[in-house]
Amino acid sequence: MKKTFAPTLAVLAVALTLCACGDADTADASVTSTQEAGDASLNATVAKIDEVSTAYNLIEKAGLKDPFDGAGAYTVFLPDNQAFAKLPKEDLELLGTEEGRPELIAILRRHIAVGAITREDLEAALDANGGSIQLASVADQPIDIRRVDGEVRIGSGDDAPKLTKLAVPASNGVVYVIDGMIPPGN
Amino acid sequence: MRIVIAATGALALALSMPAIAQSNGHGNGQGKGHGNGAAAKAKPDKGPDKEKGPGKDKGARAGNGNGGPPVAMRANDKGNGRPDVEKAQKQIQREVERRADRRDDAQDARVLRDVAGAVAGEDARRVLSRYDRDARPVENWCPPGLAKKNNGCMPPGQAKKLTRDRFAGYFGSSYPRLAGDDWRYYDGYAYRPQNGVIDALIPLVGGALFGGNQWPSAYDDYRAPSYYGNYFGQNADNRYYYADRTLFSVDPQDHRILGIAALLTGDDITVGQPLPRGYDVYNVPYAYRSQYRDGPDAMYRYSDGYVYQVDPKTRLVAAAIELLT
Repeated sequence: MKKTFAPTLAVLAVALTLCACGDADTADASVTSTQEAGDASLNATVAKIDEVSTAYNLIEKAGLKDPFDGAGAYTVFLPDNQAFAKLPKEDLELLGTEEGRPELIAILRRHIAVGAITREDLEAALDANGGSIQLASVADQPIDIRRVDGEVRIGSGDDAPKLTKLAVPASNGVVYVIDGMIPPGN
Repeated sequence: MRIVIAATGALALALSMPAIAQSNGHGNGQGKGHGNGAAAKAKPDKGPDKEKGPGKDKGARAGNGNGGPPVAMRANDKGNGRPDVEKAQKQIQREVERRADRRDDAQDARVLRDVAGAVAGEDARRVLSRYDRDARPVENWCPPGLAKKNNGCMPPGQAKKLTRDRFAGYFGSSYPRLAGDDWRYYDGYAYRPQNGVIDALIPLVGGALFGGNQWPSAYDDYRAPSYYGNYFGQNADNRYYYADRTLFSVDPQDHRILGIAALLTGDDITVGQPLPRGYDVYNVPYAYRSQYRDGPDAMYRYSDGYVYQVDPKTRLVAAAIELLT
């Protein structure tokens, strides 16, 4: 029997959502416009964002480079490096192994919405829907998006991560940097 | 009677097929004629009924319990039944029930070893074939390394923790059929022990269903419609299969999984029906925004390779628009 994933995913989620990381906040002083498509694919775009280098490595290990290089359009909410750094070292290492890959993919799915959703359209939809909307995801449940005290929260609960100011358009989608992991359930 | 499935992915899947087989690939073109100019671009008549080759009629079986079929299958098709498949399903179910009635038979070490091999990724059908000949039960079987204790297949003191850790939370969020605490993990598979036997076995995305592994023969019917391969695929020579909201590219020669081609919502979006939740925001890919822009008479939303035209007042789906021309 192979090694089991000992620490709970619940602990993992809490650890990530509890961290309020300012890394990406300081990377860009203003909210990036995403109205126009980027020149590079999602995969190549993520690769260029220093704040999500850990997420990029995990995407590669999850075998998701092809989907992010393909014709499909996605909006990805990627926890920044500091969020992943909050994980116990052995857990983060396990997610990068064959043993942990099913969990890794399940976790990443929770952070991927379909289509290309610009920051401008996101804000407009929040305005039009009383500050609360849902995005269809490639997990089972839609992703809740809420405006709370002027910040945009991703997922439900008080510890839901928030959007940083860093959003980068790709040719086939949009990358948002968030400061924690989206909780598993709405 | 509870059906006992003795470590057989094939049977676990086969038994789920009656619920799965909702879309048999015979389009009826529901999108046709709806909407305005954009609807004219819809090609519902090019649905899976136009599939060629061995995959014909077999696309998109991954329905309920498996993440939902590719959306356009439901959007544009009406399943019209496949007597051969239904007959096979009934035969398999009868066979499983027959085996379940033999649980008092003696164990056979060789069969147990073979089942262990099946769990590790070998052809479960081959194991079942031998099992059929020997008519041996596999009750009390545990995966290698999980020595059978008084609490079934779980090592003492770790059973509860193992199940909670492995399949709660994100697993349940991404794959509802794996929600709950009764699932275990072994070498790329989820399995569910019950009363000393394994009554379900599911290959996991990223586990058994991952690049380099063989596509499970039990999933042969999960061939995706050609549109999905054409739209998402990066190599027209590959075959494309679908399971758990995931599109896989597979080598047509040796059935080796080449990689994940796309992650899908599996949302049930049907022409004439309300748009499901999750589409509050305009999300059409950049390349199609000039063609499909929201207006007073129509709004557009993207999902799984299609753009859907929706009535903004009623939120009823008016047309499913393929993005390949």
